[in-house]
This record gives sequence, C-alpha cells and structure tokens, in this order.
Amino acid sequence: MPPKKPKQPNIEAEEKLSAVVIADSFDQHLMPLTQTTPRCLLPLCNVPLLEYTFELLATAGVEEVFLFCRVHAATIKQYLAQSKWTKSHAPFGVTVIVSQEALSVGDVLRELDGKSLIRTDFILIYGDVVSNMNLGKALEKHRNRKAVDKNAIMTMVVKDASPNHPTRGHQEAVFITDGQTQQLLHYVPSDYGIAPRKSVPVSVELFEKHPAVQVRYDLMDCCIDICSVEVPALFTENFDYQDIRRDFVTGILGSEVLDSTFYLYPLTHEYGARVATGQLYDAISRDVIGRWVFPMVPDCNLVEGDQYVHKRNHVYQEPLVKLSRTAELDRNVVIGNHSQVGENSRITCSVIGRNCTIGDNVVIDGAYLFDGTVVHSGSRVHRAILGYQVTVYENTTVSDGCLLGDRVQVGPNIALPRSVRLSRYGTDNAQVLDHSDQELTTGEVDLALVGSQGLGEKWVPSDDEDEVEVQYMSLTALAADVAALTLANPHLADNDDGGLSDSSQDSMDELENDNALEPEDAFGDEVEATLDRAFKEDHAVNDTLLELKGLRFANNKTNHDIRVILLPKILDLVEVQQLRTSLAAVLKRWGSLVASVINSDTDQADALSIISSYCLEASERTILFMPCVKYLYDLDIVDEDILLGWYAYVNKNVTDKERLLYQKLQPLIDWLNEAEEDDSGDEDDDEDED
Amino acid sequence: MFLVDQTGTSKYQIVPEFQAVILAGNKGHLYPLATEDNVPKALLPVANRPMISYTLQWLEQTGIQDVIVVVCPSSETQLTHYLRTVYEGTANIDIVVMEEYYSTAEALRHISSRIFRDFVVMTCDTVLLSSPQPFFDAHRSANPALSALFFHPTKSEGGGGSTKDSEWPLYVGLDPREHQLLYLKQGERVKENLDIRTSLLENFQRFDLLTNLQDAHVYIFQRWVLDFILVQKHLPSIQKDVLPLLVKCQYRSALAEAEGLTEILKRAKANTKHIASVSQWTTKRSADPQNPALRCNIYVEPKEFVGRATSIPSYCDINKQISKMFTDQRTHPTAEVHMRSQVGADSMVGNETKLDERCSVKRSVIGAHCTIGKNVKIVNSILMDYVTIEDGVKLDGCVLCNNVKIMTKAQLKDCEVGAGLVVDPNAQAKNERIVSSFVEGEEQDMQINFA
Repeated sequence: MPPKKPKQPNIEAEEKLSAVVIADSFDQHLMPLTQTTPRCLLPLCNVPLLEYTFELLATAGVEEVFLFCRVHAATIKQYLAQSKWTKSHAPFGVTVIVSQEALSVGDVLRELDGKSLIRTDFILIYGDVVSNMNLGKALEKHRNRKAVDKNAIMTMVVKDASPNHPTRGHQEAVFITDGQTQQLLHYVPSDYGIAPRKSVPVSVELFEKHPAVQVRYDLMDCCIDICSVEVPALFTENFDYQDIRRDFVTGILGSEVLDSTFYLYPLTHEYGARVATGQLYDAISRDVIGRWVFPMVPDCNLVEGDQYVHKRNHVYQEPLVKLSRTAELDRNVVIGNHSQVGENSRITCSVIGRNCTIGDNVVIDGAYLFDGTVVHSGSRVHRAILGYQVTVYENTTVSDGCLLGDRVQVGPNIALPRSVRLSRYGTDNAQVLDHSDQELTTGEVDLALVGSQGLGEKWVPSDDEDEVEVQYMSLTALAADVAALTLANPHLADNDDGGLSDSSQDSMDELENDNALEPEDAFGDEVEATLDRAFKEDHAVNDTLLELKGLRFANNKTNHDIRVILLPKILDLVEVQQLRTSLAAVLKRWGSLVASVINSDTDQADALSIISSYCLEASERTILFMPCVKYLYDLDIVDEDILLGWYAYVNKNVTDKERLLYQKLQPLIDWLNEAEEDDSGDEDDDEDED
Repeated sequence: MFLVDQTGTSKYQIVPEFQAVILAGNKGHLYPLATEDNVPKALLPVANRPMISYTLQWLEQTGIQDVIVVVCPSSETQLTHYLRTVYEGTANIDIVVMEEYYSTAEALRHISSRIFRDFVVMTCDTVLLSSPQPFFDAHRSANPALSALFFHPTKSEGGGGSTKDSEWPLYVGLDPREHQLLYLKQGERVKENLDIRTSLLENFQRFDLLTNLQDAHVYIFQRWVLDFILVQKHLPSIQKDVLPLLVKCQYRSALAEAEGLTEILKRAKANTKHIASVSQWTTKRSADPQNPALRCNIYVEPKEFVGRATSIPSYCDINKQISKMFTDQRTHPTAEVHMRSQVGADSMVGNETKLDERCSVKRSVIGAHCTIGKNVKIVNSILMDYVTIEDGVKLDGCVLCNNVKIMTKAQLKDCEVGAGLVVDPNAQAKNERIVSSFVEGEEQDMQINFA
C-alpha cells in the first residue's frame, strides 16, 4: 500500500512495544530441580532468573509483556503477584498466557498468531536469559533495516565467543553472513557435539547472489530475537516447525518460495546468554559474580529487599550472615541472609542461598545451594547444584555434576558418584508437579546410593525424550566430564584459549599440540582389552561385535579404526609353526567377526592394506600373508576383483621389502586370473582426503 | 657475508633474496593464437609488447635478478631469440627446455636443482602493471610458507574471438585481518556444496569466503616448500593441487603429518638455525625466522591492473585495457596513417604499418608491418604483425594472427584467424574459428576459401 507509507513511522511509534517471554524451557536439562520450580524462577546468584529477563526488557522500554507458561503456571502467577512487576509503578503490564498444549516454541508462536495479540515488531525472549545489552539499539537497527529490506523478518542477537568458551555451552552453530549488512545467508544449526561432523556443507547457489560472504563460527546465540509481525504467521503456515533455530531459521532460509531475510546483531562488549543447561547455569553464575553482566550483579539487588554488599575477591554478602571466626569465604561467593557457616569451613566460587546452615570443616567449591539447605560437618560439595532444603549429612561427598532436587537428603558417611540426579518427587517426568507441597513419593530409596538417612531416588531422563537430547544432556550437564568430551570431539582439545577473544590460532600451535592423538590411544587400548578378553574367555562372536560397535559409536570411530586393531590382534593368535591348521582354526573361530567389520569394497582393500603392513612389520610374519589372504578370499570376506584391483594398485609404487611380500601373493593372483580371464580389476578408491 | 676479492679491497656482496621461475609453456586455451606457426604464448603481443616482457619487468622491479624461464621445445627458438637479443632488461635469464606436457609442479620438480633460495613462481600469461613492492613487503613481514597474489578481475567488455569464457568460480577463504589463505577450491571440483571442515572452523572461527577473486598465479615460496613438492610426486599442478593441499595442512595436522609436511618443516627448521643470524642481521623485522611455520598468505591487489590471458576473450580484454592505459605515443612514429583515416584514442598502431584513406580504427591494437587498404573498419580487434587487409574490409571483435591476409570487402565478426591464412573476397563469418582450409558448413553459402 504505497500511499500509506509516509504515515507508517507514526503508526509504529504509537504501537506499544511488546515482548514475548517464554517461561517454559520445553526440555529437561535442569531436572529434577525444575520438577518443583519452573526454570525461569530458579535462583541464579539468589535472584530468580525471570528478574534478569524482565529487567532487560524494562531497560529497553518494553510496555507490554506476554508471558507464556505451560507447567508451573500457578507458581509463576503467584510469584508475579508478589513481585514488583505487578505493582503500580511497574514499567510494563504482564499478561500471563497459560497453554498446556504448547510443547515447543513453535506452538507458542502459533498460539500467539491465533490470538492475534501482536500487531507490531516484538522481542522474543526466554524467561531464563541473562543479558545487559542495549535492546533499544538492536530494535532501532531492526526498524531501520526494514526500511531498506522489507523482507527482513528477524534480527538475531549473537555474541562473539570462541567455540570453547564456557558460556557458549557447546553451541556449534555456523553462521554465514554478508559481512557488510550482517544478513544471515546460511545457518548450520548446532549439533551440540553429539556426532562431531567432519565438515559443514555450504550450497554453491549461495554465491550467485553474494560473491563475498563471511563464515562465522565465533558466535554464540543469545536467544534474544527481534521479530516482525510476520514471524508468528509463518509458524502457523509451517505447522511442523518446532524449534526456532533448527526448524524455522533453516527452513525459511532454505525455502525457495519465501524470500524473507534474517539479520544478525552481534554484541561485542555486551553480554547475553541463556541458562539452557546445567553447564550454562554454572558458567553464567560465574559471569554474574565476575561482574561481566554489570549492572546486573548481585549487589545491585534486583529483587526488593535484597541487601547484598560487594566485598573484595567478589564476595557478595547480606548483613545477617553468621560466619564463624575461622570460616573462610575465599572468592566468588554469594551468600544470603540468615545463613551460617561453621568453624574451618571453606567456600569458594559458590552461591549459598538464605537460611542455609553449613557445619564445621565443610568444603564447598563451585556449588550452588538454594535456600534452606543444610550441609553437616565434614562434608564436601564440589561442582553441584543442591535444590531447596536439601540436607547433606556428616562426612558426605557430593561430587561433580550432581543435581539434588528439593528436600533430598544424602549421607552420612557416603560419597555420591559423579553426575547423579536425585529427586523426591518421583521420576515420572510426564506429570510435572505444579506445587511443591504436593505429596512426596514414597518410592524405594536406594540406601546404598544415598546413605542410611538418605531420601530420594535416582532421576533418569524419560524415554520419550529423543536420544539426541539425552546425549546432549549428559554432555552439557554441570561439570560434564571433560575427558569424555575430549574423546567425543578431538577438535575441542585442539585450542582452548578460554578467553572471549576469537584470535585465530597460529598454525604452528596446532602442529605442536596435536592432542587429537591421545583419545585415539585410549580408544585403541579399550578395543585391545575387549579383544583380549574375548580371546581369553572365548566370548561369542556376536557379543564381541556388540562391544566393539559400542566402543566405536561411543568414540565416534570408523570401522577402519576397529580394523586396524582387530586384524593384527587376530593374526597374533596364529601360531607360525603350525601355520595352516592354526590359521584355519583362528579364522574359523573369528572369521565372522572380521567379516562384520568389512562392508564395502573400500573396506576390503583397506583390510588388505592392514594385513600387508602387519606382515611387513616382522620378517617371520611374511609367510602368513598369502595363506591369510587366501582364507579371506575363501571365506568371501574379500572379493576377487577387489583383490586383483588392490594388488594392481599396490604394485605400482613399492619398496623392495613390499615387493617381496607381494610376490608371495603372485600364485594366488595368477590362479585367480586364470579362473577369470576378463577380470581387469578396478581401481579401489583411496581413502578420500577431502 | 662479504667477500675479499683479488685486489684485497673488501666489499659487501648483496645476497639475492629470491629467485624467480617463469613458466612459459604453451598450455592454455589460446589456440590458434599461440601455435608454432604464429608465436609462442609468451610472445603474444599485449599492446604491441610481448606478454613475457611485462612479467620480466615486474620481477625486475622487485630487484630479482635470477630468472629461470621454462620453455617448451616448440617455442624454444623464438623465445630464446627474444630473450637473448631483443629483450632489454637486466635480469640474468636462464632458459630451460622441457617437454610440452609437463605440468606446473612437474616443471618445478624438474628444475629443483637450480633453485637455492626462496623463490617466485609465475606464468608468462600474467600481466601485471601494479607495483610488486606491497606484495613482497607483505610476504617479508609475515614470513609465511607461501604468499599468493590474487586480484579482482575486471569485468569483461565482451567481444573478441568466437569463444566465450565460461569460467568456474574460484572459492577463496581468507582471514582478512591476518591475510591468511584458509580455503581454496576450484569451481569445477565442486558439485553442489562446499564442505567446510570442522577443523578449519575450530582453528579459524571467522573468515571470508569469496568468489570474486582470481588467482594471478604469482607465488612466493619458501625454499622448503620445494622439498615438499619434490616429495609429492603425484601432484601435477601448483595452482590446483599443491596450493590447496598446503592450505589444508594449515589446520589439518594429521594430513600434514601424513603428507610428510611435518617432517619437512622440522628439517627446514633445523636448517634455518644457522641462517637465522644472517636474516636477523639483514632484515630487522623478520617474523621469527627459526620458525618456518606452515602458513599460507594471500595478498589481494587493491586496485592496480592485474590480468591473466588464459583464453582468447581474456587476452582481448587485457589488450584493450592495457592499450587504454598506455600513455606513450599510440601510433608508432614510423607508421603511416593516411590523413583521411581515423585511429581512435583507445587504439594503437605498430611501427611501419600503413593505413590507407578512409579507415577507421576503434578500440583495437594493430601490430607492426601491417598494410591496411582503403575504407577499412576495425573495431574491437587485435591485429598481429604483417597482416594485410584489402579495401572495404570490416572487422569487429576479431583476432588476426601474423601474416593473415583479408581480401576485399570481407566482413568478420567475433572470429579468430590462424597465422598465415587468407580470407577470400566478400567472405562473411561470425563466431568462427578460422584455422585451416577446412571449415564446417563449407557446402553452404559460405564464401571463405583458404590458401
């Protein structure tokens, strides 16, 4: 409608600036803490997360907030009723929308469209985002851009962060942008390090319109989007879109019909992150304590009635804390009113809620204790989150990655294993409780796990959660096992500069600290151990195969990696003195295992190469070569034409030693050639290096 | 560092920094221009000067004195003659003859025994009018394993020859802040998707990916890279094989290891130790000479003219652009242009060439010793030496090789005519490659007959 155009700015100015806040997380990352408290009300540095989000919106001049809840709606409403956001001086009005059916962000936006609540650009944010950015500037940019590019529908706020930065939380999304306009041209969503990808595909068509693009892997998603009115409508049109990144952004960008465009708004000096996982809860807490999110720091007392004071070494303390004379708050500690710490206890890098009691000789390091938690004398809590009113009895160790739900009790005199999640509200995730005063389950308590006075059962992710999510959870759990992580993704080990800087690494560094080899060795040892056991205890082939497969997937290896270890191991079994008989016996016993790791033509050639290099290692092994290959041929593990092709290929470029070995194969080759004259043998593909 | 000569007076001897290798083979898509009966590629005229003279001059500007020119047997005589007697530069030119089919990396392997220090490799079809200093200074300051010169190709004006360039894009990834070359992929080797390695992303989290750059095929290599090229016997091309592999090895240590690069680097490191003191002494700011890190640099020529004559259209474009930039006298003093003929300000006429009356020459380059009749129109064309054009001929977008004769009133548009051919009177041709007496479609009203 061209005639209306000059009027438009006025209309927009009159429109209320609104924000859509999604209070539900739609995931289980912080279970079982979120069984009783919605994620947006979990305390981060003793302030409910929602306060951070609302504060950000208030500073941006938002006038209208739609808060979407699914579970715990009553709790959220109750919290809002007593908070400053519903007082008469509140900067914006909050409309709480409860929708039990919404199971994803997509559902929320479709509902938003259905109710046609939004008539202008809006801010889409989650109830658990912590940021100090100037949203106003981003909004202005978004609006100005719409004047230039009327197809612009969304501005995504991102922040520079090197891939291994803790606050990035293993997001491995790749953004391909137009360096000048910051238009997002291609988006490869994060796979969360589950199946480390070898490469990222970029369509060639992209370059037809944009001859020069920028590839950005140094960006983390702040989960703050400025959306145009069209966004909810697009979700309604594409009713299968669930996730806003994985489905919506990739879907619309890949669409040939729609020419809607996305833009990035990169933050450089501001902060923005979402508490999406346990690991991020830890990282963001540290950032808040370390004043990276200034002015949102504990001593600005976001919640009315808080009285935190900032002391040296980033210790934030309320006035009514009772510290014994010898208790030590080392550094980076937040501790709330009416909490007390006993003699010789030491607290480092931790957050202690209100009304907590910490006994004598307790060590608390990197832990988060919600209100009313009691830690008895002689216990240690290390990198864990303890919910409301948790009790840790005497001489108990809560180790890395534990998440203890409300009112769980552990101890005395036990050590909880790593990464255990305990709950007293059952492990049935389908019905999430709406009130914390609901009955506690009386399920059987595993006293061996939680101790003689313990209360609580082990919580495990529910089955309906898809497998990828579950794996991601274990990876991003608080204090996820760094060693396991390194195994899963050798790239991560390569460069950990830890800082926010995205300086490209000197290539020499990479050559020198080639950590990628270490995990492989670990994997090799494991496979060897498995095989030794199988040979010694005479396992069934299928069981061994299953174990090998498990190892392979766990370490993200290929069949080649298995073959390299398996074949020499099997050949080691052969006794050279009684070559024929023992070889026949060994291959009869284990041949099917060998066969099962050799699938394609390339695999066969690869196996032949492995065997030949094994035989080259020691001179007495050379006699093994021909019979072994012959048996593999007889067992149909190696095809005739592959063998001939391989033979022709390796003979092109050989050393003397190799030639001697290959000559042993000549009778077999001749025999094969005679059998089938027209066999020319195809070249086997060499392992693709691209 | 200094020698005492016989007379006993000591003086400093300048240690040359680089050697240069010019690959002057006949490869390319320049048939029928670069053939045995015409001239070798290196001697094709660009604004009435042999192509290779631009390359040599550019090298001389950097102070490089030792130049090895690799030629193929078919062009040996002509090229040797030119380099030994006609060319007036100061460089010491070493001519090496190699079989025609040798590819670029093979050529380097062949002459490796003659290369003693860091070296520059270029082809004769790169025409550079830019100053080499910024490129060389960038190389000196970062001290990478190699530096490559890239440029923004000038848009083709079209016209010139019967073929059209269907060039594949070159995908170039570079870190603009560090001038590091991170990704290199020939368009013809890409199917649907470019695959960007995770290891690349891990090591270089932010880089530009461009398709609007072209490789000038000018590289500065450290000496040890030659060792690597010697090991990699199966790699045929520097541009298409060696360079991408080195670029990949920057972030794929396992690959570098497998290809034997790590080993060579280690050795190179050990060898540089004793030279280190020298280079520290000569250049103050050499970036850690003890550490010949595997790093590929890219220098993107900001504005000055660089072009590559790899095909007939690009050859024509370069001719036009350079003749436009030419500031000296456009018409050679010995040329005779009739008063009533017009030669445009964007055209050039070579020595001893005669133009009769009522001729018009626009956006064209006419070589030496040509004879042009009356009422001839030449637009957008290149005429080499000893071309004869009779009255009333019209040429548009044509390339005529040496000794071509075009008879009365012939009209040619977008054609190439091979050396020594005669085009009949009243002949008409469009988009034709005229190379021999046999032409397809002869039986129709085609009026061309060839001697």
